[in-house]
Amino acid sequence: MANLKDIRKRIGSVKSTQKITRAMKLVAAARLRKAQQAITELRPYALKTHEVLSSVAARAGESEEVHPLLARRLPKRVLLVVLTSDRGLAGAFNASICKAAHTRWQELEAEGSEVHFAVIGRKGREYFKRREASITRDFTGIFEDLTTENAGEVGRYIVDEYTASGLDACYLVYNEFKSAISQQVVIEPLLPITPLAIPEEQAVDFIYEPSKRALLDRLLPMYVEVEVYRALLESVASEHGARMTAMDSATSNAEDMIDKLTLQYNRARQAAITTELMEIIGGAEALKG
Amino acid sequence: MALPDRLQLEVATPKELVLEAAPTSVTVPSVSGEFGVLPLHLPLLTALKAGVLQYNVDGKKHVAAVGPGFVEAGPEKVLLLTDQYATPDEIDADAEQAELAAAEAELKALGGSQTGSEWIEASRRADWARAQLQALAIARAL
Repeated sequence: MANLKDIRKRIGSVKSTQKITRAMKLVAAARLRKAQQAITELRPYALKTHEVLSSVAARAGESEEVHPLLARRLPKRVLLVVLTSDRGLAGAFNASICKAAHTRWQELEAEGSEVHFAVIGRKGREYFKRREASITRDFTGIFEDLTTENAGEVGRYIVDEYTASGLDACYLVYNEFKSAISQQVVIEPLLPITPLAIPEEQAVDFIYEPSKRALLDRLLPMYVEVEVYRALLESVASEHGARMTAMDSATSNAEDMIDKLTLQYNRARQAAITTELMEIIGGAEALKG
Repeated sequence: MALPDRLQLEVATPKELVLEAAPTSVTVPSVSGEFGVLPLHLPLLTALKAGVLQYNVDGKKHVAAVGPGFVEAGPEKVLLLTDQYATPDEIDADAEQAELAAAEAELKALGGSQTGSEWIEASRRADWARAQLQALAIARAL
């Protein structure tokens, strides 16, 4: 039988762990709300950008040479942009994203493509470094203060890399936020850009100033930046959702453990009392002689 | 069909849909100069530069500073996509003066090379500060 002091100590340590997990759950819930709000606020802008872009791109193809960011080529060199988190303790969040990216990596290599990685978040960097992937760039610490500026930095890097080093395709791998308890890994083609199909009757022939090409030169990178920002927000919301769920189950596991230990403690205490009584009675009997 | 006498004006930034209004006319700063939009304008798509957006609602003139982006103008609708937006009450004249001076000093220090990312960043900051000061000046003159 474990002694009373040990059990008491364990109950104390489980209780303080539970306090931490409960606090982390609350923090994650608050951050999740913030991230969700940011997604909602970005939505009209992202949608309009895509619409405007599509209306220009749909027409640019006919008259002018296709823009490099729109041109479709055989994917010989592929960049996978993997969005993970800087911090752990978020359930299967990082594991599932890394697994999905890894699987895609093997698929692409089997098809004969050369695969490079741009990793966002410390966890993904560790994973792919261990597996000796070709990481062209890693971004860490951008989740501490996620703004359009640092999303823009990632976006600009992707566009530069795409145009300068002859990439043929670029995919975003991130956790899409479904709800606080469910996230889904998506692999989304980012480049070349796929314009929305616009129905004929809605297609207005715009006057383009200065020219379609000049507009596309500005619109396409902007679109990439917006998409990256959106994916980052989705990923942040998913991360906090996953952490919230993980911390919730950790808190209730701690509760179960405390119950079990308390029972054990009471039993041990009872046993100790009984033994003591037996000793006293035994002693008294012996004295009677 | 009755001719529309109002436009639907929307300004969207990555943070939110900042402005929705129904003005009778709109003036927008584009890369090829300022241009006005009245109802029944021909469909036009152009790039915005940092500058002052002006619009009239029921005879009252409104002003706001906008950053670079895009504008889609049509017969019924004007849509601005921009990364920055500020109304005159949000603009702090002293802070923007300081910002403008700092950005210009940086530009001067960088000298002739007008291509590096630092130069682009500094000139972006200078343009945005200038646009806000301009908007404030126009708003005060009203």
